[in-house]
Amino acid sequence: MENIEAMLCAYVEGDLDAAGRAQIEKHLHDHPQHRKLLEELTAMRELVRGLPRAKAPMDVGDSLRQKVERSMLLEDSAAAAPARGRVNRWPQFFGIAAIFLLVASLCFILYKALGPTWKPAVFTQNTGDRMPEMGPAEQPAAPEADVQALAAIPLTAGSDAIAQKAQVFVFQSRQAALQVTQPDLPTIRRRLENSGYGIHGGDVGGGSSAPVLVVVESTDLSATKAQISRFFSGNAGISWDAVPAVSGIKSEAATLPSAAVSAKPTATAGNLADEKEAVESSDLYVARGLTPERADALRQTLMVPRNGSAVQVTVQSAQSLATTQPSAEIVKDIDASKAQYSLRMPTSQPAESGKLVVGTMLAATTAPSFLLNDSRNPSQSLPPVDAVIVLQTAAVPAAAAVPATQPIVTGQTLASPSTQP
Amino acid sequence: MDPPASNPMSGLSGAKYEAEFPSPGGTSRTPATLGGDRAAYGQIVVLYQDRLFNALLRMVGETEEARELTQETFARGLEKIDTFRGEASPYTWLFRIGMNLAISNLRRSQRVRFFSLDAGGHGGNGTPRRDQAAALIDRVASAKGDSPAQAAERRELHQVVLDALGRVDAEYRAVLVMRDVEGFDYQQMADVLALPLGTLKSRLFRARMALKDELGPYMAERKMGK
Repeated sequence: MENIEAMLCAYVEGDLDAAGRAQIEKHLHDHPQHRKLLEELTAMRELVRGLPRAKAPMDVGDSLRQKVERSMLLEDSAAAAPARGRVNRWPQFFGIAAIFLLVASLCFILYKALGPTWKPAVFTQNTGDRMPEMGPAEQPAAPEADVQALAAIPLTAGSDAIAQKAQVFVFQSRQAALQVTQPDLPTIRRRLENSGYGIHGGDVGGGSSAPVLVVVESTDLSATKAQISRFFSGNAGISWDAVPAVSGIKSEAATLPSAAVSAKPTATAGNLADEKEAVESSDLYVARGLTPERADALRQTLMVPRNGSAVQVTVQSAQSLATTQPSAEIVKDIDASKAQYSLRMPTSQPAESGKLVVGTMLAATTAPSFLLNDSRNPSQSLPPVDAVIVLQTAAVPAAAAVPATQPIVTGQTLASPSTQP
Repeated sequence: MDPPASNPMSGLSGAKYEAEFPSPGGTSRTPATLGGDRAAYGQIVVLYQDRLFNALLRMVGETEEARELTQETFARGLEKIDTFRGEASPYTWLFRIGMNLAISNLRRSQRVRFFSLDAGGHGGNGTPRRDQAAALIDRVASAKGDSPAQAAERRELHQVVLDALGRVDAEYRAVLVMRDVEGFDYQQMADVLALPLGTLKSRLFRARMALKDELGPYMAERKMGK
């Protein structure tokens, strides 16, 4: 169709080739009405071509000429401009780059100078986040397993209430210095239960502190144990027991030869050799008289490691080890001090449901203490303890290894609980 | 070479004077050397303003609109003069700009247009102005020795053609203006409209048929009158 129209167009225009023209003529011979049509088209073409030609108004060129002149003037100006008008911006770029370099250098120097001691204590709310600043490389798979194991523990309404209001103090060592593993809390708790130990939070309303869990990670476990032994020996009023690894047998209390405790009769109150053997044979201890303040003193002692070892101490609530629930009075006390806790909570993130949140009342100036009794065995009177100490071997990552002659000083001073932010 | 506007029929052979045009210095310059030369652009405005205005007037039918389109076309050309590479003649290049503007205007304002020899034009001060084309017709008729009656009949015929031209679609009007008013060859038309030659010829044929449909009653009446 388009070809036929194009051919007819060319015929009307008079520029069709001979073959095409002959083809059209033959068709027109057979169809005279079409010849008439084409003649009309040709006539109309001439009519359009015969239309008069209009001249442009006079002002069409005027405005354009002005534009052209203005454009030419601007073009001339632009051509002359570079020499006097172009601003060399390189000095500005160099200046900005120098400022960035200076700031980056300053940050690096500050980090190097203050980094190991600058990091504040870490406050978290649940066990899954207990050591949040360890970084992925230092976070083994164990913590997640712990959290899952703890999450499987049915919570009572009371402990949940505590969990929502409590917080944890974690004093961790220099970042990347140690490759630590999370303590196996369910196992520890099982060992404590099987050994018949309860977690003593002090008398209700008596102003005592909540029990603490001290986790000591060391690259030289024997040296650290010796330090602990010396610390216990040098502090009166502290008695401790090694918790056996096997269940069902409660170890005898190993009483340190301090004046306050030595008078206390114990079945195995005895010589230092026995104590040392007990300490070195177990990695789990319970202590009485090891208040949070003394636990902090122990932490500071361990922060000065021996024989070039590296130590990390984590102090947190031992409530995670308890399966009991507080009394209604305790919960009431906790509710009453809610505002105070809120002020001291470093984060407003609520505890995730289903997770056992370890908490401590260390931050509260009027911390309500509570006696955790085993609700499953109410008749059993458990000897309360103030602290649970866990010793674990820590490995030093290859990248963070330091010469043996240079001890790694980790952690920072534990402020008094009452002065914690 | 005479300016095209000096010869009313020069549009029929518009392509023949586009091969070269006078430069400001008086020497001929090829279009290919025009790119980026703003001084030469002023010469182009003078050279082509009448021709372009006439073509755009036949497209839009109104003097004022054609004037604005002409100015806009030259302004756009000035802005884009750096992109002119001489692949087409300067007028074809400008005409393409102007035709696109005109078609765009026609599509934007879908109003009924009355094409007139008087063109409804007014002077800058708002007073009615006699259409220059009508005056030109009178002069031409006078030069041909037409009587006043013949001149009036010729004017009437032109008005009928213009009316019919104004009623066909803009795309058809564009090819008719390019071919019959501007005298473009097929290739120039294909360049402006970006169409294959076969499609262009087909469109031209349809445009003629459309114009015949518009002019048909008048032609029949005229034939009967004779």
